[in-house]
Amino acid sequence: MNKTIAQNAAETYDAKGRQAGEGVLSPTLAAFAEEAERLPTDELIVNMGPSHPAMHGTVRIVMRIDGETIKDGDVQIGYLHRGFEKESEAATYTQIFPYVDRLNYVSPLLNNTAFAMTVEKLLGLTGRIPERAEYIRVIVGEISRVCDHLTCITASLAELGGLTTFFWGNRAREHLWELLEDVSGARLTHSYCRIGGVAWDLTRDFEPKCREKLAKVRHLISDTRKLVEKNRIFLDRMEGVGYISAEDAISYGITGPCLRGCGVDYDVRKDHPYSVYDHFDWDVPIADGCDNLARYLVRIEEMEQSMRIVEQALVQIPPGPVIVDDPLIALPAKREVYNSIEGMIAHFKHIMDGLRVPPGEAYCYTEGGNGELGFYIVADGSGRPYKNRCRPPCFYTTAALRQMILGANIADVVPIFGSLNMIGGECER
Amino acid sequence: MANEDQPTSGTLPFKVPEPPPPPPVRASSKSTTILKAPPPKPAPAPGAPNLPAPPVAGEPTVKLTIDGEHVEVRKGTNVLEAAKMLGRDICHFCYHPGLSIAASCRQCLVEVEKMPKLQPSCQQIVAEGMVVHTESPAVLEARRAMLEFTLKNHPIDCPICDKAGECILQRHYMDHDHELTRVDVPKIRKPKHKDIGRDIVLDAERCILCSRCVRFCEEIPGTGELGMMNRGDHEILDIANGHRLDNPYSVNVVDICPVGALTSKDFRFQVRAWELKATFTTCPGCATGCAVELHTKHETAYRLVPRYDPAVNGHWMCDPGRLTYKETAPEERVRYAKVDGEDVPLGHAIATAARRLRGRTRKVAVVFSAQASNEANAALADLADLLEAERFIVGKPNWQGDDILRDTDQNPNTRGALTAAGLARHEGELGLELAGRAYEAVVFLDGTFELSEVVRTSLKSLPSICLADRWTPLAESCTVVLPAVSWAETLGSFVNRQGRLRVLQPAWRPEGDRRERADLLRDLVMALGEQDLPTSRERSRTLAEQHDNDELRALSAMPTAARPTLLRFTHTRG
Repeated sequence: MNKTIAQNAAETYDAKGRQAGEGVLSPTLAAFAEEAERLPTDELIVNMGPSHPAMHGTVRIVMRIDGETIKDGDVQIGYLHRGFEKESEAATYTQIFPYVDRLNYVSPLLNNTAFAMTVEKLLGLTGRIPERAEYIRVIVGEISRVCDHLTCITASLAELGGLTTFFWGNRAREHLWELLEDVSGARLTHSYCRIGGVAWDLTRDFEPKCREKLAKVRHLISDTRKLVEKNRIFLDRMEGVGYISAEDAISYGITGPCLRGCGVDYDVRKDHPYSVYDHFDWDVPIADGCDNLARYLVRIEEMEQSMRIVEQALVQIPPGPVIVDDPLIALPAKREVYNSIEGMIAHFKHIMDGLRVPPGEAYCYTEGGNGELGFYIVADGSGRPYKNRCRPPCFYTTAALRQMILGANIADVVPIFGSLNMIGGECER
Repeated sequence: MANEDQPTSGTLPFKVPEPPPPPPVRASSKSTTILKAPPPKPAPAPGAPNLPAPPVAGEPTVKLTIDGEHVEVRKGTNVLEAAKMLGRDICHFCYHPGLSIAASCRQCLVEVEKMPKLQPSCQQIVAEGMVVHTESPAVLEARRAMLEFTLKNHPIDCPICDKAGECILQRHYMDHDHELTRVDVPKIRKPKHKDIGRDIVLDAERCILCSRCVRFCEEIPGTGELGMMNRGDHEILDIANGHRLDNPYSVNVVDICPVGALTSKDFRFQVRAWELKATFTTCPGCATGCAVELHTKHETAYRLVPRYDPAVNGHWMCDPGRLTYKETAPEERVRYAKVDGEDVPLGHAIATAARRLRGRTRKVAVVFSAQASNEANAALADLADLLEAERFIVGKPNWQGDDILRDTDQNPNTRGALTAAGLARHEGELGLELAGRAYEAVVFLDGTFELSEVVRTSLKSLPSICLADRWTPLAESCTVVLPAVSWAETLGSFVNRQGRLRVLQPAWRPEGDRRERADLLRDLVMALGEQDLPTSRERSRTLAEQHDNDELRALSAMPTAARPTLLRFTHTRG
């Protein structure tokens, strides 16, 4: 009697998607496993990275292993240190935007916004930015967040062997990058924000194009979920792996999706609303698995929430200017620069000396792709910061990596590290 | 500061003879009085604002109030300078502390209580009990309106203007105006890039008619080539028919021009001002030793501009002195040691030099240089003591001086070199004796000295050691050439014609094997197997103590203090 495919599947897989009869080894294998248990092993020091395809950027983990089990791990960062903070001290505030682009280079617009907001706080501009500029920052920022999560999820999946999802994720990200390229002129490092607003307005056909692209991205995300979420390999390597408790996560200073994956309901956008985030109806997704799978699920749902915000913002966005109307902060219009000496001098002094920020210090924090992204700036009254300190969210998650890989198998390092979404440019600055 | 009364210390590594009397200075012009005036106190630290002197006890003084602050100044001071003593810079174009008052720009208007109209603060002499407001609404509005008026016919030249980045008009616009234009009529056209002199190009459109340059030419060189022609908005700066701006101080008008109307032919279109780094150093052009800023970019010097030093050069310097930076041109530099025409490692060259000096039977000649620093000459004196050598002193030939700043002695350190050398014979005898092969070896401290063809040929056949910073005929004829730093890279000092210690700061780190002359000579003495000598920096410290010079003391104690600053952060220009 021929069985239907469904019947066959029901007999083969159980409700959790696992193969029926799992865990029961054949007699030969059982004997082999028993012998392997008795075999004496030596501890071994193994280097993972810094030049390793799964060590995002260049991180090195020196592991002490016993068989397949990790007994200890020393996570070493710094191979991608560029001296961003020191370099900022020699650049005008405007010149720092390209540098912050290169922190978390998958979501540069979120970095742009965070930096601009800090300088605006020093200038006393908070709340005086034109509303259209705030909406534009939210729209492009949330699109960047989707890009960030897509990169994290699908790169992790590729490391687990799911290369198809990687291509789908990249295709979705490419749709969004095309959108951001239309707006900012650059595909990856946008430098689109300015102190006091954004560089220029959205393109005229941005709204229909954005809706069209979001539909495509939703479709690709849904395809990806269908492909992996009942996949045995995926679940085995994600569920219960990379455990960190909520208490530990908080004590490490972890924020963002990694904290929400521990069941802690904390999102800077909700808990300390900035910009116009309180104008939208959206939810903070949390999962309480404290493991790789929980972090994956949080990111998947956050992408949907981000797209919700974008869609609402597209409806609500008011017309108007996109940068503050203050000749000491905003560059003059090009028409003035090329046709009047006043505009020319203003432009020249802006570029050469930088806009003058009154002496003081400010810390401003936002929800970046990986958690709380903050800048702490000390200004001395000149056109460049006296000190610029960045609080990179993934520095703190990387600090917790050692605890998460202890006792795991060597092969688990890859999905655990992937689920933290450590970005070298941001972590090591 | 050093002077003739300075006691000579027995601990010095060289003998200090009686210094020669300073060259006669005729007392006729304003600047000469600056030169002759005995300094009441050390020159201000480099980059310090050019503050008016506070009143001396016993002088008649006046008390006034500026923006609510009380200040007591000398009688006869103007309000602008009184405000400066309180740290308030009243924005101005035509006022210059080294020139007479014109009050033509009207940019420095202030409100004086009980006076019906705003007063130009540069012309307003302080009076007892005067109450001045420099930030009142009427003053701010007058400032803004004056700037708008000044900018009305100003060309849109910043991208091609040499002054951009150090332009006072740009700075004042950003500080006091920053309004966009309201003018929609064409600007008035005036002559552009007009060649008005040996070193100067005039762009009359950029001129804001402050008349600083006119007053300079009348008051400092006393030649008066420049004048204001026409009137109203057609008024232009120009030279009189048949005259050219060719006086030997002409480039100062470029420095005092608040905008880019007068530009130097030498500096035009060479480099943008904001890319330059400034080093506070001393002009090596003559025995006056004017305080200057050396402006450099990427180990290349681009210009010298005067730095305010009331005791030596006031605000000015001469045109030939400005060109001394050309001696540091990168293409002429000696980067590596040469022995018999072959590039060799520095240690090898020093060992070779020591070997050739050690095996001698007859006398050695050492040649001090009035172009080299005190430190280098002192080190050579130690070598001369060791070798019991015959001492000569050389330098550039005399040229035509004047009674403003230029000295007839083209060498910046004649007095220092003579002090270090002790009893030395001069250059004429050296040529004769070298040609007559009176010496078995000769050590030159510097390669700038001109020698005849015959003597240079004879140098090739005997151990001749030259510490050269650039390739000159003399350096090329010596058999051992050690790469030394030029005056632009050295941390050292000169002694000028007044007996003052003049400090040299390094503008960049010397490339290749170039090192301080005193350090090269120290290595040479050590290679001869003799005693340890002080390093160049230790010699600087000794000199700083001997002359009680704070600047050199600080520099020799902490080398990072000598790091050049980007021009736009020195706040000395524009």
